[in-house]
Amino acid sequence: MALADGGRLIARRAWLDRRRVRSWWALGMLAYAAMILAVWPSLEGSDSFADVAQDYPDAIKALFGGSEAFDAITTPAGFINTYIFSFMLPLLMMALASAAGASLLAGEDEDGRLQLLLAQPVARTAAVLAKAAVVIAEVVLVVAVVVVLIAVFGPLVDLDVGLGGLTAAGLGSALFGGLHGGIALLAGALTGRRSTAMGVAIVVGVGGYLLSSLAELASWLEPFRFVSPMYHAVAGDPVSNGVPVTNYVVLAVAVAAVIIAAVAVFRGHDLH
Amino acid sequence: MSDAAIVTRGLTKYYGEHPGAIDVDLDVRPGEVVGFLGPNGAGKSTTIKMLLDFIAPTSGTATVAGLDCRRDSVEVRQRVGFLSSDVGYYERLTASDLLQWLGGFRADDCGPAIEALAARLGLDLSRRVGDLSTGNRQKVGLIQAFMHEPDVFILDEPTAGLDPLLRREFEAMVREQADRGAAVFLSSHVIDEVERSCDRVVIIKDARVVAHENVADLTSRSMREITARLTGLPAAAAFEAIAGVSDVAVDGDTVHLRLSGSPDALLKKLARHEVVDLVVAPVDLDEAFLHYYRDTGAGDDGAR
Repeated sequence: MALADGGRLIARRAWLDRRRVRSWWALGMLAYAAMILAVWPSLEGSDSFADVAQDYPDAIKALFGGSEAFDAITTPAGFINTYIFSFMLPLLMMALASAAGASLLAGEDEDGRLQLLLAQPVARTAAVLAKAAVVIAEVVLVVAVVVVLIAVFGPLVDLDVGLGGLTAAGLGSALFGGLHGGIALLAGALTGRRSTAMGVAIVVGVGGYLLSSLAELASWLEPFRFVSPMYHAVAGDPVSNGVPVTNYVVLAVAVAAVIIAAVAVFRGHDLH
Repeated sequence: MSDAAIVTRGLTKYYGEHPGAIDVDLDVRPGEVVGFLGPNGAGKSTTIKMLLDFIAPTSGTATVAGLDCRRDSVEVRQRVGFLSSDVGYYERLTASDLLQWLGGFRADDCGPAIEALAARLGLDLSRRVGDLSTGNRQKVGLIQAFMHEPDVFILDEPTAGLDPLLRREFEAMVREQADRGAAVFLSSHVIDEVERSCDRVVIIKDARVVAHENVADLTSRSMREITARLTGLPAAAAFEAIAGVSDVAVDGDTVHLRLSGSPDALLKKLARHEVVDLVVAPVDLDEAFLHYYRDTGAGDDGAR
């Protein structure tokens, strides 16, 4: 069907175009994860580090995913949760997806490439869906790379967490990233400006992160934490407890909603 | 007008308060080449963007091959070869890869057509688009518009950046397509090109269509800028008296003037002198408008 063919051509082009950027991201994440693994042996079972960690101010603990998680920092699951999944991987995937979503739609609008694309017989819907698919696939790939690294090399440094927990936590980061990629696409369809699109997505991401972290410290914020995507991505400690179904469904629905909104807005958007 | 390829009625676009195009009516029939003339900012690109569904009209209708430009936009674009110098390319691709990729959208094997056109226009397909000069980028655009043999051509400033030889080649390509039965709609702000390649012209100024002309009629009114260096010191008054001559300025031994219509009287006058040098240049459309359409628009061309 013509719709699918055009979409596939767009997706393939976008995927290939982002090869270089994606490789650097994957490498950077691998290096970070490898570094975390390398540090683990000296922290494992270290009472002195556990004491120091306990004494960290509550505010710091909150930013690292909460004091409960932080207190478990010398256990394998607690360690990997704190240093990778509680905020680092989600926020980095948010940054990657926001940049990708912003450049694939608003960026191409700004430099005239959308005109080239939409002069071809391809529907706007197909174009947005193709770009959204690329953003999500990119995030999933980078997360998978990190998960595989930890699953394969963790046991070598005596960090055995189990692939199930890692995958569950990785899925949360991927959903979180994908959501902000969708927000960047939506903001890009609304404004046609790459920097605005990226800015909006990042502000939402960081704002949500702060909301979810500080909700632990400020009781008046607690009811609002359900609005924070970060809360849904990391609450329930997926590394130890597996997939938190309700939270992930909320995220998945949110991802679908922003992408559908981006399609709808883009269909009425005047190109530059 | 069931056999019209491009039809617009009352096509209007406002950007907030600012008018981009107002009440534009167009008819382009198969086999016809229609030029869209206007100064920069007149509304040519705005109108063309509405035909391609890049922007939504504020009111009015536009159809291509009987299909609504907005509702049936994908089918319209299947039939249209489009070119604009506003377009951006994927700079890291070679011209060949880019063109093959674009060809894929219409599920055509455009390979042979691409190579033939590249040979005709003199483009090295193996070069990266980002490394190409303006003229060569324009060739990529032309190939992409012509390679799939569309029924309708919508070309926005198609010869921008092309040298005179290539402009002639382009004009030949356009004539071939029209002879084949395609409808060609092209915009320009150089009268000479439009005169050579078009059957009719639509003239737009300040967002409104101000004239529909047959090219023959336009030719009789087109202007030339003439500079003649003579021996001796010519008198301005003698030239001002010649029919069709305006804006006479004498600078030592050189006469500058503008001529519209037949050059016969002027040539006979010049022939009575010894002419050392003579330069005849077509006047840019912007200037021509100043002369002919001053009373139709919002005054002088200070505001664009």
